[in-house]
Amino acid sequence: MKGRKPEYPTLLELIRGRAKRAAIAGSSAAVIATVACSSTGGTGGGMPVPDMGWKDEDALVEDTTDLPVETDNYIPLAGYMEWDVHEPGDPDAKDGK
Amino acid sequence: MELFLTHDCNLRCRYCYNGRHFKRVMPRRVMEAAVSLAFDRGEGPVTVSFFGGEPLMEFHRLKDGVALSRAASKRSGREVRFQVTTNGTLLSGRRLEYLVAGGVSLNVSLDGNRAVQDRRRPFRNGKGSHRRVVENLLRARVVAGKVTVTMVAGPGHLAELPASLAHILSLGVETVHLALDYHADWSAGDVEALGVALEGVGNCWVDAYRRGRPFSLPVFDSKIARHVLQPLVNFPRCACGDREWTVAPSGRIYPCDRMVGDDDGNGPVIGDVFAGFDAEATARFLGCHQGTPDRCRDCDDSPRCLFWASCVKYGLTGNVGEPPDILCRLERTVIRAADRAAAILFEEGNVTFIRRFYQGHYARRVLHALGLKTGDVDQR
Repeated sequence: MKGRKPEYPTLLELIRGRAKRAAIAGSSAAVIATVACSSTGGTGGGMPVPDMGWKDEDALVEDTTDLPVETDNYIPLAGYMEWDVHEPGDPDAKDGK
Repeated sequence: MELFLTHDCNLRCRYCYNGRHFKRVMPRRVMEAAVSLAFDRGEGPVTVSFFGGEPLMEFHRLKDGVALSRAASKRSGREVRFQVTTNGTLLSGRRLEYLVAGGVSLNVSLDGNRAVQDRRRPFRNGKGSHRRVVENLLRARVVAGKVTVTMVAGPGHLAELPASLAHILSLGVETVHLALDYHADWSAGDVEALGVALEGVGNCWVDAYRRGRPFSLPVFDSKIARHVLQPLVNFPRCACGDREWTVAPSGRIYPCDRMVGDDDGNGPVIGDVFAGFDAEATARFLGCHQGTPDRCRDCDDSPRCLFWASCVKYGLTGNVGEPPDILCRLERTVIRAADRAAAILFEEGNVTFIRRFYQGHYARRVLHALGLKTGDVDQR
């Protein structure tokens, strides 16, 4: 059964290069992380609550404890964010965003 | 492990799925055996949850459970964590102090504003519970710092859902578990009304992001995160019947608290705390829980769908086998609502949304593991 494709991209779709995306998606190593989940009694629905590391917005940006890599490497969407932080109507914003 | 401390409850919620509220309390010997089983099984941290009925009606039993678990933790060297799901009416005074001091995570059931809560979750004498629950919730939030809320949505009050959510958020709650009433009869009109209600919920969620003060709404978050991070991140199904299980006062083990009911032995029992897990019954259950029906295999929504969720199937049909058609319609409605809200924020380039879903812990970890750098990601 066909569902409706969401109108926001996957992270994989944001990765540059069709060949690279295909290689990643086709690799058995593509699933490289498992979300820690926990169920809360009575929440119902059976859907485990993903721990997405959202405890603290500041820590989300600053926390590098589990990522001992260079700064420009560990915020992979920095370029995207640069495009993104313009206010609506800002003449510097790209694509009218 | 979840300890179903008592069947008794001081509320009479219109939609309660936990059977008749007769007086049957978990005996200490059952609790001792349950705790031993939990710490003998598996490895790593053990989470002990208290549930019912209303678990705070048996507060001394809850304290027994904490003490026994702490002792087992010390003996085994395994960390122990606690949580309680309560209707909030007794969450006050020394009980609150004890729970907070013991680091017990608090989850309070509250369906919404006064009109909704008093109608759907009255005391057993028929009086409304809203005032008491909100008073206690506000105090608990101050003392504990964090309290999560579970609200149940079902036919008959869907139009009030957005206002109810807004009310709960106005109390300073930052995580709302919006659960559908899977024991109700959902007509086609109800599903349509759910879609409209969830659009209102989505507007509330979007506005919170626009203000830079997002709240966690797992019913949406889980659908969106699964889309954004697929296929790079594995989101496991819930571990009920495997690493998660519920012990009834009788000592019977169920895969999930939603299957205990009257605990008459007719549900999907997978063992008891004295004899241990019944390997055959557990395998039979997990076969249903972990399988994928043929008709779901090619569905684009299946990576984000609850077709496998045994508690949902059990609620809707009374068994854990094939997912019913109504589950398909409900899930599709939820997924569409979550996608609509996410698409709005992405289109607006909402920084908070991008940070959470595209730059969160797992996204960073995945890209790092792939050896990708900033320039490898589309800057648009």
